[in-house]
Amino acid sequence: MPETSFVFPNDPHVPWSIMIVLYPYITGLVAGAFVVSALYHVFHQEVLKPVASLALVTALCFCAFATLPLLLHLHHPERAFYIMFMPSFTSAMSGFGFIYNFYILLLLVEVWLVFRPTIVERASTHSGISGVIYRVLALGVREISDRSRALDQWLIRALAIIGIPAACVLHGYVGFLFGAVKANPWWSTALMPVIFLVSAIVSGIAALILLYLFFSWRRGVKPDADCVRSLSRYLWGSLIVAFSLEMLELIHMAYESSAEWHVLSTLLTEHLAFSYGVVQVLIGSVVPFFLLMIATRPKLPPWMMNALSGLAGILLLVQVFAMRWNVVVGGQIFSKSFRGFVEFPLHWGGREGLVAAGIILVLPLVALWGASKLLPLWQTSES
Amino acid sequence: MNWIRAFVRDTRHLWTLLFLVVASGAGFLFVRSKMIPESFGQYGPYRATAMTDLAALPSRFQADATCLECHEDVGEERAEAVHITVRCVHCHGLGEEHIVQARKAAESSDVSIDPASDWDGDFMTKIDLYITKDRATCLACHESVVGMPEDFQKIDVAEHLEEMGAGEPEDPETCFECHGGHDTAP
Repeated sequence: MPETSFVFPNDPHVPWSIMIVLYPYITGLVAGAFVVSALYHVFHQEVLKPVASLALVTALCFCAFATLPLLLHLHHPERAFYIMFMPSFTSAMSGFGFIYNFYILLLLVEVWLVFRPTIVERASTHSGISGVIYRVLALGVREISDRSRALDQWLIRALAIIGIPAACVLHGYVGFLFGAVKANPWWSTALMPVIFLVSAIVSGIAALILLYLFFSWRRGVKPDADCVRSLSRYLWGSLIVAFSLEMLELIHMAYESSAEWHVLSTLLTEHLAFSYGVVQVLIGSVVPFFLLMIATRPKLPPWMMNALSGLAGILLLVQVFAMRWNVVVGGQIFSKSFRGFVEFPLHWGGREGLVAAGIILVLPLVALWGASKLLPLWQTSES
Repeated sequence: MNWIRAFVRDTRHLWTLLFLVVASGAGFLFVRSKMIPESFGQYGPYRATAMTDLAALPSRFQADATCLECHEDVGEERAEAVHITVRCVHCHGLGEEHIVQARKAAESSDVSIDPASDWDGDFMTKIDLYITKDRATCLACHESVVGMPEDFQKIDVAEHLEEMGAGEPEDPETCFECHGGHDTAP
């Protein structure tokens, strides 16, 4: 019945903008940074002590802004709380409000417990605005005994243990949202949550390496070589797993050659040729693989290790962003008729433009800078 | 009793924290109880009375059969044409007031029917009834866009007009040089 007008008139409009690319990107950074902090607090990786506090606060700062892209994307941001007030439990999205709130509460409590000795001490010694902030943060309790500190340490470890599955659920669920869209063959795969989670760990570790190198440079101290090497090893391992899973999924689709492969192969070879083939695979995965392989060699001079790890970190942050981009945008630019492609509109200005996206990415770093002024992110490495 | 005092002292910060968390949770539940409409959840995760509210709205959509009660000639014209599948409202607007007037006019000769308006070029304005030969109306369906079936009558306007040798290619009503609206066969 070709006379019944065209079949998919909703296809030309691409509803999910760059904000929906940013949302999994930022939550991924949260999950990845938390995993590093858990490696220290739970798995006693003492070598990561210099970045343990930084990792925890980084996770909190990014988590605080994880929902901002969604709010900008919504045309009625004031309705955001409806998902909590009146949840539809059969909707995957309704889980987000509860998982996110549980996770940010857990992060807040853990950060508070980790820094409580400093907060209590400064509540007594600082005056002015900073003194007020510390006194508010101390919640009216201005003394710490050995037993209370021991109890806090036990709680910190317990929260870190609970936080690992919570972080995995938080980010695995983001992948689940895409993987559960059965009408979209580019998204609908059970591997999607796993791929999102592992690439989240990649982006989190990469961001931590860069932040650690940057803050060390700003403070005029040498980065702990063992810590950077260890982070690089974890990054290398995570990259290998993430990249293997991404390629496995692709090979699986190609080998199956189902009806949708026709449009997906055109999508990859023509429309995403640069962002997937060049950025995500070549520059973002293959090059950092070799950089990290060299960087993790034990006898490498620290300056070279830092340079190679830092460069790999930058490339991997780009890679994970490209991965989110290719998933979110790639899944929307082919018609669900599997017969054509549409353009993805990308603008500089506006609520969902590139400038707004840039500001959102900078805001967690501003918060981290503010946190570094309030809390001793390096205390554990130097004490 | 010293151990009780010591326990309270050592855990006071945690009780304060717990109080804040519980108070926040209670605050959330209180606000939630005030925000949820009474009939929410009766049928599913939405306000049940929204169904009756919506059902009570007057129906604005007119079926073709209503139009063809009077416009029999159009029905005959379209009978064998490909546009048999296109609804009257697609090209002429809802016609809600028009039909109310027509029904009254059928009963009383004192009631007159307002003529159809000219289309203002915007599908989103709520003109009750319009007649247009503007090409934009045709191209709403026939302009080539992605995702359309290969065998659907889609055209690139400039290319099509040049190919067909249109006399007035810039004229908005140029489609009607060759095609009709109801029976579109050239």
